[in-house]
Amino acid sequence: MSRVALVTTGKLELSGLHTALQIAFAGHQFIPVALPSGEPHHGFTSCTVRPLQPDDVLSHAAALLQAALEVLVPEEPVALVADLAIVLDDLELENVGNEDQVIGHMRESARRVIADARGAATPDRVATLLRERVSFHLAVPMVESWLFGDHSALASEVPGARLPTRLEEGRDPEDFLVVDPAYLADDGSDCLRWHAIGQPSRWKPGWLKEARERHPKHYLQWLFKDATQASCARFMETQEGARILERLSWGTVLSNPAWYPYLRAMMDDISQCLGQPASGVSDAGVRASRTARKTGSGFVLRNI
Amino acid sequence: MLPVLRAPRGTVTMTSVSARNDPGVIAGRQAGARGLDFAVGYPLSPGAHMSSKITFKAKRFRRLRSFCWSPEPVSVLVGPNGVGKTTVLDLLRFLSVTFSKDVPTGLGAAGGGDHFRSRGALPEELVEFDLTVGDIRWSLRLPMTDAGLASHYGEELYQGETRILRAAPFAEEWELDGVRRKHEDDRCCARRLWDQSRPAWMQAMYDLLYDIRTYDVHIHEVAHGTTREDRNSFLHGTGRNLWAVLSAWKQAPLKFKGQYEWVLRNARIAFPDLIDTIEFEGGEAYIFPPGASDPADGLPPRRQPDGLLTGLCYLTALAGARPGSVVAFDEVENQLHPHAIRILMGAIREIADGRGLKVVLTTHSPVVLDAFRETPNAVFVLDADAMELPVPLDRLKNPEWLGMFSLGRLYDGLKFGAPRIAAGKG
Repeated sequence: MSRVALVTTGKLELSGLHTALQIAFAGHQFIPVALPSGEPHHGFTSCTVRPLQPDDVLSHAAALLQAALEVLVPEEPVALVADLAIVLDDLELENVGNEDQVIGHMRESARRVIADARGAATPDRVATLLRERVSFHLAVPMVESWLFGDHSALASEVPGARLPTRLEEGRDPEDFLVVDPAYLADDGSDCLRWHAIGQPSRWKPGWLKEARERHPKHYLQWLFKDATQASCARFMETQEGARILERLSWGTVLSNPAWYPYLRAMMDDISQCLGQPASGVSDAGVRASRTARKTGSGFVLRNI
Repeated sequence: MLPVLRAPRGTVTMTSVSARNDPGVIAGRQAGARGLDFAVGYPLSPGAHMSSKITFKAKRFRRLRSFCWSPEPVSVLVGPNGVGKTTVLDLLRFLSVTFSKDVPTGLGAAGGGDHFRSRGALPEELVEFDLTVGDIRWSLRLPMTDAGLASHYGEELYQGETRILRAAPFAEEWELDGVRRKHEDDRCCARRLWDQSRPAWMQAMYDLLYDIRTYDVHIHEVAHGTTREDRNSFLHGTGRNLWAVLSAWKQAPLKFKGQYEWVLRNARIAFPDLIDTIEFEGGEAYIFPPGASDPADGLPPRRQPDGLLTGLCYLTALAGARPGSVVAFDEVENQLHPHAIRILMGAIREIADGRGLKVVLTTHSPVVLDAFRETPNAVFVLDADAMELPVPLDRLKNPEWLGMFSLGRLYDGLKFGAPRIAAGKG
């Protein structure tokens, strides 16, 4: 049995991804890695990613790698370690088209983590650990897009009146686009509770923000619309979101060989490491070249 | 090669003569890492204990139920609130003052004799202290109640395997060289022996105990202090005579070679916008910022930021420390900006190396801990789960694992020195 650590940046992944992957790779253990507070790690893609400057302090990207390293070397003499660490962050809409900068930022962060090694941890040792046992993958544009790949799982939680969901036909959910007229027309005027408490910005329904049609999470929230809630939705990532994720049939999600290239790159990477294919998932299909596991030199992590 | 300022006549630098080989003068080393170029001599004679291993032990002393510790040149004690970090400093105070004065005064210096014994200890169990300096071992056994000292305390002094003196707990007499004597006064027996004959073999223990200085800066006293406070050559534990000490050093540069300049040089780096020089007039100190051109630009201490005053106290305490002595700072980060902390940590290492000091810090600061990345063995964790405190960090955690992260990040992440419940142990 191998142990795979999951260093993730959202509550949904922290709550449900380990269970979902455990189903795909039976017999292996997937371990969510949280901050000491129990919260997910901070992502580095919530704004447009730019190249690291020489005097930048260690970024959130470096912190993600350090969180991975923490579980790859025994903290104490008898501690168990992970065999592989997957660092997963959302690309976010802000970085669609900016993928190379995101990857470059992570690569440079890895170099700085290596240079920061001290004492008994030599830079060579840290470099080897990162190159052989840490991968960086992207959920595009965010993890919620995966949930739209299996309508059965989605339907198990989404109120029936909202179904079916309406994405543009024939379009890869990683290039997410909603065409649901009810969603696109909703101006939030019936969000009674939100209006009653003075429309605070912190509770502003996501679907009232820009680019709603391209935002899987905001569409998901709208599917759970509830005017009695301050946020006008009763969707919680750690509850409904996690349950959908746990019920995903990976074979269904990855049934179209042209869709989900970034997700397939991650599943393929895990599969290679464990020496076991994901249950029910066809080997055929497109992998995102940026994050797919490749052979050759010049990598700072397993796949970049 | 970086230029080195000429050392005052009669001083040496670390590059020419080992400090430990020259009993008269210990020289500071060049602080090239921070671009600080100087070689400064200190006219202070080193203690006889400088080359001796020092071990402090305590049992049933407040939070320290079982404590055994040999400090490194620069040590930091970490742990959750209430685990006993400050009690370690009280331990140092108690031993020092008990030897230099007497037990009642020692108890007072350690915060009072009430509740001196650990909670949960049995009534017949004594509070135990053992100090080992090289081959000398000094032991104290105190019968304590919650109200204070219950009776005569026990005491033993060994040189190697030979017991030199003994006083049994509760007994009216003590024994030296096989001769029984009455307790004549409150002085401890070891001190009576020292006062009586000053045996050469005791010098190391005397020097160590006489030179333990613990600091808990009282910022209000510093801010309102004048140069008329007690004009010792070293800083009082509260910092109250800071201006008197600095004034004396500035006025007698031949006697206190380089000390005033060393303090000011580091203060300028740590607080670059606040201090360039200090002038003393009419018993008052006036601090001038960089670029000051008018006497009115100098402001008195009470108009200065607390961080600057704290930093000056720490630097002055270090500069005035006798070679080989123990200098301890409680919660060293208080009032200080991270930049100032880093400069102070560099200064501490520099002077600890140069003078063979043992510097003891307590902290909750990730910035302070980050200064120990190269020396995790000098990070001592007071972990309530450990059978004996403290535990060196490199024994608590895999050194390779430690080497991959900033210690401050690990501490902040509750990986060591964390409250039990927060760390998931509760």
